Amino acid sequence: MCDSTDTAHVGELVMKQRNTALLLNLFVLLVMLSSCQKMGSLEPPQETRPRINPRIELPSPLETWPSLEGRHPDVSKEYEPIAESPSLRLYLRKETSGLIVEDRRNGRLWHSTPPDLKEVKLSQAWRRRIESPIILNYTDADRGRANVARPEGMQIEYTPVAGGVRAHYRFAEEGFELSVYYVLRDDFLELTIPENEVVEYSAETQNTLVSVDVLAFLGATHDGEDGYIVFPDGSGAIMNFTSPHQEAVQEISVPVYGLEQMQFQRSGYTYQSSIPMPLFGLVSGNAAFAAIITQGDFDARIGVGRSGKSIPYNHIWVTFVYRRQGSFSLTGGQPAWLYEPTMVGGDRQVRYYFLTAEDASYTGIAARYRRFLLEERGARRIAADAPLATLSFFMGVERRTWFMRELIKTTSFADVQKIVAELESAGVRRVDFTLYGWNEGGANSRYPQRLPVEKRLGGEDGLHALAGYLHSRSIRLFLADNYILALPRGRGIFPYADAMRGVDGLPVGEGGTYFINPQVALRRFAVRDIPKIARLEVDGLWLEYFASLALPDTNDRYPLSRENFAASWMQLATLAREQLGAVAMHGDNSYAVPYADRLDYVQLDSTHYDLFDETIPLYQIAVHGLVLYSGQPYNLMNDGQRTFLRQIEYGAIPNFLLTQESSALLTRTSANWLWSSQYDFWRPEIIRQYQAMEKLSHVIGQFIVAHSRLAHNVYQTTYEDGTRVVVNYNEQPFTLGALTVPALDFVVLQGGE
Amino acid sequence: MTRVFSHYKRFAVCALVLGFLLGEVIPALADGPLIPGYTIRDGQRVPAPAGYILSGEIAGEGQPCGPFKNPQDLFLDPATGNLLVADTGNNRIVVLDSKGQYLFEIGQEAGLKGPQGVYVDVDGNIWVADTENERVVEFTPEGALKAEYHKPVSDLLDEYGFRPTKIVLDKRGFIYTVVGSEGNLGIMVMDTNERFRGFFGRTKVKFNLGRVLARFFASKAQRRRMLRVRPAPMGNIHIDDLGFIYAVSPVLTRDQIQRLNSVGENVYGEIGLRTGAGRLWDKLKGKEGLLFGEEEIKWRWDGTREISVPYTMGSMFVDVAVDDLGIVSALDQQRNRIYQYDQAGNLLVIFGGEGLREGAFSLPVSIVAGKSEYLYILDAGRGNIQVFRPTRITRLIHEASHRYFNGEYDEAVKLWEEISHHNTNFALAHSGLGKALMRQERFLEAMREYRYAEDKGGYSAAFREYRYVWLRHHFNWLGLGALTLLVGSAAAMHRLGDGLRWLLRRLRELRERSDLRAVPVLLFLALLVRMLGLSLLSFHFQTQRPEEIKLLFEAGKVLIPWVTWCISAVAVAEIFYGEGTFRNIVISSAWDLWPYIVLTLPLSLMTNAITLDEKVFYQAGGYLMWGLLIWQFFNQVRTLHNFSTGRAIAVMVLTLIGMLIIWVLLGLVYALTSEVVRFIQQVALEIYVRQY
Repeated sequence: MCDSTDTAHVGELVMKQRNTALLLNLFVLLVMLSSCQKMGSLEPPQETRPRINPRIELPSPLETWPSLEGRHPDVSKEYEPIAESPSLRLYLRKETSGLIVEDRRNGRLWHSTPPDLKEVKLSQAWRRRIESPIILNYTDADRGRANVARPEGMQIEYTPVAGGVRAHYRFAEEGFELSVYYVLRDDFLELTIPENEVVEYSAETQNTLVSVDVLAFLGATHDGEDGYIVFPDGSGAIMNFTSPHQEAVQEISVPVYGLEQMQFQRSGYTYQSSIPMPLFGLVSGNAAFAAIITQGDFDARIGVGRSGKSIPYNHIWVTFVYRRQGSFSLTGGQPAWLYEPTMVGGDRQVRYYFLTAEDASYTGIAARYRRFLLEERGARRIAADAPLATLSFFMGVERRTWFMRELIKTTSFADVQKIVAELESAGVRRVDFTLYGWNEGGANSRYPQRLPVEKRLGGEDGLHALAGYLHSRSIRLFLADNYILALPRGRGIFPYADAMRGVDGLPVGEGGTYFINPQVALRRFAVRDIPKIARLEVDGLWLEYFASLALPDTNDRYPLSRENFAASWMQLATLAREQLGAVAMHGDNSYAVPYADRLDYVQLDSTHYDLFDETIPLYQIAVHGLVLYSGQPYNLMNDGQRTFLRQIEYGAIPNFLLTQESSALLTRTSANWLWSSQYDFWRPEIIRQYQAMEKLSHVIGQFIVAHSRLAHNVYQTTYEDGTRVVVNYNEQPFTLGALTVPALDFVVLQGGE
Repeated sequence: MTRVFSHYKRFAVCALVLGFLLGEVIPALADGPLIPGYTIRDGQRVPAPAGYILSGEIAGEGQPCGPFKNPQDLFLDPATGNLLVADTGNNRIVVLDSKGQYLFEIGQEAGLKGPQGVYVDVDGNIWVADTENERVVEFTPEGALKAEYHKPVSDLLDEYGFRPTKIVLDKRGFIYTVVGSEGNLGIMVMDTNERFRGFFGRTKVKFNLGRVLARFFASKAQRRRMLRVRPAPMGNIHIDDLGFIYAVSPVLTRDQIQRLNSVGENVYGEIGLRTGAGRLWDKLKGKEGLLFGEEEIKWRWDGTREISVPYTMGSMFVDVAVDDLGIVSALDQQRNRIYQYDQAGNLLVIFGGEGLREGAFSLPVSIVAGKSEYLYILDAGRGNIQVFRPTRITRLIHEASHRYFNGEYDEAVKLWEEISHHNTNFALAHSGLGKALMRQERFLEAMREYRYAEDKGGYSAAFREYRYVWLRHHFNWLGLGALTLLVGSAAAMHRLGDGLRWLLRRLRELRERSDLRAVPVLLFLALLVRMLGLSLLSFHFQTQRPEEIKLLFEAGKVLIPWVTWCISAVAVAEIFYGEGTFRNIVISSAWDLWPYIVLTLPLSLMTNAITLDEKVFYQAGGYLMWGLLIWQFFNQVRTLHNFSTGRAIAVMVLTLIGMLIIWVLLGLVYALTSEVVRFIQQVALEIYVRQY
């Protein structure tokens, strides 16, 4: 008979069964959901420490020294020929490891030590330093200052290798050993310092390696001689050997690819260009060399020294950095700058390409780098129908009061559509469009959350409509995106685990905003969000800072060198490109050229250091035709016609950052840097610049083959098909024979005119 | 986000305005870089288009005179356009032409020693402040020695030396020199007969409460040791066509730039612009007067929050240049920048920077204005003169300013309008536009422009006019509405009265019930009313921007005094054998906030209808509210504890003092604990990093 307890038992049993069933169902559901998510996201690449540069191949050792007959008559007897190629011959002085490269095409000799060194008045220490092709800097136990290892105490062992020599240097007193391979290939000298042959005996000596200056005096020249030094400061700069200058020795040393570390304590409003490419050179008479840093370019600095009282030579060289200084600001007062304890690894390699005849100019130097990018770094030519201008729209930014988050809306999706239609009726058609601040919260939103699309601007529907409209007109739409910042209200990020860490080990960031480690950005956020953005049917992403920053990261989980950092971002860009079609970047670092469809905010000027005499478009000659590029937004420049002329001269397409409403709405927001942007005010200028670009539309995908100064403030740029663009910055017209260029204007001459 | 600004260097002069071409002295220097610019708004740096661009450089190197050595003064002769450099380290004056080509030099024969000042009078004679020789020397325009002048003989000058560093002459031929010596005096005036004519434009020693208090409490020995406060020394001086002497003082923190009239009074800047004019607090701190340049920067506002920045020192002005339009450009040696102001002292443009690159300075010492608004800056560190040309927008700003001050308001409007499109951050363009719109009686638009410029005075004036127009326009409806209201309230007076009485009775009952739960409700109401009140204030009555109102901060402003009152009240009442309990005090204090709760919102709403001239109504309302509050709390003290009136007053005063003591103690505790916390944090950080 069933009594109450039995019923209770049965009831319990039934309950238990129901519970288990429920739990089972929930479990299945969860599994399905998680796999669903996995289905939606992408597979990130395997490599967590990716690289930009390919692995090096060291030449194989030889049994004996090759016997070579040829010898240039001017080479002094201490030097023996040790290698030969069709264009070059290499000589070695075993006592100091000094080198001479003979260019067999024109008989020029390039000395690693100036040949007239004996006649020059110098201290013995400097003399010895100039004789040595490598100069090693190290620091001792206190890690505060760098000292120079005495070349006198250097012991060198030579091993012949295919194409050259392996010189093994031992600094017994300071406790370092390293090998340098000097190898001749067809028309260049390649100098390699392999990572695994650098040894520091820091356990015994407490000394640690800081940097190595390489071939500092190759081609060093006195004042008054014919020629100049080419330095990649910003767009490029030239130092003539003949221009007068102060006697006090001037020297600068600038890191390649911009900031070596994130510095938040910038006082701002100072002006300094960065070096966007690992290229430098020296022109002497009718010969030149172009040096390209092919390995370890992320850990290199390029230095220039001007002839002065103590050293009467003008010279340019690369410094390979093995340790950086970190600022350890602990006691709230002055930070202590100490060298980091771990060595920056990686092979180091620099190639010196020797140029003759017409190539011996800054144009030839830049063209050589362009060839290098094409042949060895995967750059490709752009299409001939590339866009002629790039227009960005600033959509909105949030401003918080105590009770609400107000969106200061400056442009909506519908506004963009109207503007596009209006521009089209004025003839402006081949344009790229970028939207900035399209996500929820506007421009200072909740990164690393980048979706959903801001409803107050039109929402996803509005964006779809806009994208559809632009596609019907074959116009590309980019969405600006940021994979480096984690803002205070962002979710899914744990600062101490996921943020970038500086040399001092602390997370890089300020006031709740952090920099995200690129691998974390790739594996956690990019693979999750890029498919979602793909569903919005836009044509690409505009990635902020991607071509302007490469920082070292001591994050625990994904430690990255500067090269790893940049390559991680390029992995992300590749992912976006595969899913969406195109990628545009902010910045101009040349390693990004093969990975980007457009580069914005490219430097069109140099820093104008006192040291240099002229600014040249070295960077632009090297990359025009390999990537589409633009400078800063014209509406934020306010120097009028000359900026426009500079864009024309340097082959950059016009760039505008616009809003529908007046930018006065943004004055009390964090976007107050946008001081003039209203479309109605800038429309005539946009149309004018586009029409000027239409005159140049046929050269948009061509290489620049020549650039020269015709007169004071008059420059000529020549493209592959012979088209010449002459730009006149003067306030008077310029006349040369039959050619007249009006004041502050330019003309386009077809080939043959 | 840190945005790395890198800008272009080329710039186009507006075709209408002819540029002043500089010939090539140093080979082919193309135009210099356009260094990113900024302006100051509310004491904060705000991005702005750059103001000036380097146009050329002039140096001694490569010329017959050789390099300059520690040059200290630059002068541009308006008649010939020649540039004169006081090449102090080389004991000479170098004369260059307008393009910077060497003409001749003066010094060897005359035996100049360390001359730091040079001037050319209307006749072309060259005057030199021969500093080390303690004299003033006059040369002919060709450089022949004409006369020399030594220290005037006068009893008044017995204790003072005479080391003239800078020099100008006025139309009468009187010599004004800046004398540097132990007894630094400012500007000394003498005539060509070496007769002493007096001191000129001595800067006043400002009142400083801190100093006074320190002196008051110091002992005699300490007082003797204290620094004597002297009038601030002057830097360079400049005289314009009208005879005004512009002087800068590198030491002052306010009124650093002065325009002195013939009797030596500073007449620079409209009174309305002077910060602290009449504000007692600023007077006490010695911060009265116009602020030129920038103060020390310790933090900055990025639009959403304060961010700390590395400490930057305040400005130190060493020279000033005034051009034909009356634009004043002052050279700040500390910051290596030039700050430019208009005739009324409004900031127009800032440019410059430190560094060894074109367009930057190493040790700038002197500035002069040339033709076409060009500026010449002498840099002793680099030994050269850099020539700057204004960008197009700067020229527009100068022209707009000039026309406005000449009374050509309509032309000024057009220019201000264009300028405001080019830089929406530029407050002056907006307020200039606002002024012009006012004159055109477009009041609503004027209000909007003043809003952009954050000019409360202007906004209030525009609002007053607009209000009048609006009232007149809507008078019918308003009248009808007011009438219906009156009639309606008269009819319903009875009902209203009943309703009100019922409400008051209910409230009184609630209060009588002494329910502790009423306290959080009332406090919440007070807080809500405060926040709403702050948000509903009209623009011209706001003291903070809406986005700067922090909930926690304002809550603290309400809750902290209330809580400390309760604590202090119960403590003091206990001492005086009061009958009230803590519970009663708390409940009563909450209810006694009713004047605040009831009156704040109407007062805030009222500000939307009145102008700054009618501020007195708002203030009266405020006083009423405070009066009621004080009366309520006084009553609380008296009735709760059953004190007599006199006693109640005494207790109330003591309670207030008690509150102050609690605050001081709280402050102390906070300071100490935050130091301890900071110490622990830093130790932790050190340990963490050391083991790394």
